[in-house]
Amino acid sequence: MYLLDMDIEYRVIIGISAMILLFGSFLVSFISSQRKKLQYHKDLEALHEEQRQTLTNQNTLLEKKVEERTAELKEQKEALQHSLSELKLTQNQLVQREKMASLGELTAGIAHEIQNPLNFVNNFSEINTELLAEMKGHLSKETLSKDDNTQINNLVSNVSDNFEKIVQHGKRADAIVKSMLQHSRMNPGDNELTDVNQLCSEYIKLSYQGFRARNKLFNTQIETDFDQNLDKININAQSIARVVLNLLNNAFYSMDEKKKKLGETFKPVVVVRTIRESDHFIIRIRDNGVGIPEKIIDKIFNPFFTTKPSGQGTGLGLSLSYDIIKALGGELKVSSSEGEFAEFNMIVPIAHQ
Amino acid sequence: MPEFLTKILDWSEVWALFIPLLALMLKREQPRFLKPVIVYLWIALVLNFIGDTIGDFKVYLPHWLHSNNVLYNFHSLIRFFCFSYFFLLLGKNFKSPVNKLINFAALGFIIYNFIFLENFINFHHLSGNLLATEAYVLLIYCIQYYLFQLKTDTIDFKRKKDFWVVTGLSIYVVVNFFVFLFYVPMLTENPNLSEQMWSVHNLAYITLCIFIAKAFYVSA
Repeated sequence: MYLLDMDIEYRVIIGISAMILLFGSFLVSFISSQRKKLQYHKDLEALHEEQRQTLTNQNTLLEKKVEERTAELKEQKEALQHSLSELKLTQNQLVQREKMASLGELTAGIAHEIQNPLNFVNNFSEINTELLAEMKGHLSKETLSKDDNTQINNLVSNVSDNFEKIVQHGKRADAIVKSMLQHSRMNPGDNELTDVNQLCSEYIKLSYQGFRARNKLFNTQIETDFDQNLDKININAQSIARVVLNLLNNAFYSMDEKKKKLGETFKPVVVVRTIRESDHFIIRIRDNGVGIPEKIIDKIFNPFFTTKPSGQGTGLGLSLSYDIIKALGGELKVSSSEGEFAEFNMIVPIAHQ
Repeated sequence: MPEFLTKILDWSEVWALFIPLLALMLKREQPRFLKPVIVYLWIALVLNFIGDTIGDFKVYLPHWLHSNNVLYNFHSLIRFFCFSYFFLLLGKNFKSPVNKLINFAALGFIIYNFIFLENFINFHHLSGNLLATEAYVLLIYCIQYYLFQLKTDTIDFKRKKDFWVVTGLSIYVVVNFFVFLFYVPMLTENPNLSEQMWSVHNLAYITLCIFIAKAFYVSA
């Protein structure tokens, strides 16, 4: 059955029309999609431009903030540098103050040491004046009896003895002054042959007298155990003396505090010992004062750390002592039991001196 | 054209199908959207083999088996459904109301065609209207596919299996739309030309098979 026979011309028209319709639709769709795509790209470009603009603005803002912050930081840096300079100045002042405090303590000891021979000199001078006046009385007589001669001889003998004592005590004062001068003339870096035992002995006296000058009720037993094998050693005596003085002052203070708590039942004892080892020597200072609590023992060498009441300590004594011994290539060690004792060991190398 | 070449070309509808099937043997793992194409290849092989056998050996067959035209009609419907389903599996773009309308319109025209214009089991010649309509609808799908690809700015087409199938199909349907449209009237007006036109159809079919084979072989 062949119901409808279509001419070939119609078929050509239908075929071409169908193709035109199809490819025309394709073209329209394609152009439409491309236009949409172009619009989308334009929108995207606009969005990018907007974002770029925002980013530029943010960058500008950020740069401005960075500049402001840099300026702030610069100001802060300058302020910090200023603070640092002030801090260094203050530190130097504190170190100076600590030195002055040590000097004050030392001065009191020196004054006490010199005071004794001066008292002797004054007393014997006064006695000699009286004896000479008495002698003058005897000599004013026209005739001298035998008894007068005997008395004059006795007076001359006494005056002579007194002069000897005056000279002796004068020399003692002279020796003390010379010794102090010797130490004071030294630069901190100078080394000299030093009898460490004698140095310790001198500074124990000076320190003790200095402390007693400030606290007249204080008394302590001082035990020394000096190693006789410790000959003269080439060391910086002034630095060692400063540390010894500092440690002794702390020891006296600690024992004084304990005595205030416990009263007369407490007997303060400070033991100073020197030990000669092969390449170093040790100065050990041990007191039976209040000791150091375990929780603060790691901090005692920190600058400005002190347990003393405000105004009584700078907090630099132990710190400077630690630095001095470290600078000498040695060690400053501490051991303590709270309420029982505190022991400091200055270990100073000999070979490096 | 020599006789043996004409014979080879006539049987190309059978042997050309072995090209994609051989590729399928080598690359068995294929994506889901190629399943309708594989089904089509096997059905086409059977239909074409029977069709060509009838064409060349009808003297040995009973009278009612002397025409293979109805097989071409079936083949056309099978191809239409298989490739339509292939496009549907490619994505939601092919499930739009416009596509549904096109499908219903094509189906309506085919029904109308076989009621009022042509006989489905015509003994004398194949249904040019059916085949041309099928080619045109598939061409619409192909054009739509390219349009979607252009919209999505696909960069590397060569690695897309669907691209090779659609390209092969595009070549086939573009060529055969006109072949199918003019084939039936040509049979009466110029039988020699109609024979040569069918050779063009066969060449387009070989091209389709090669492109499907490429689709199977290419690594996605």
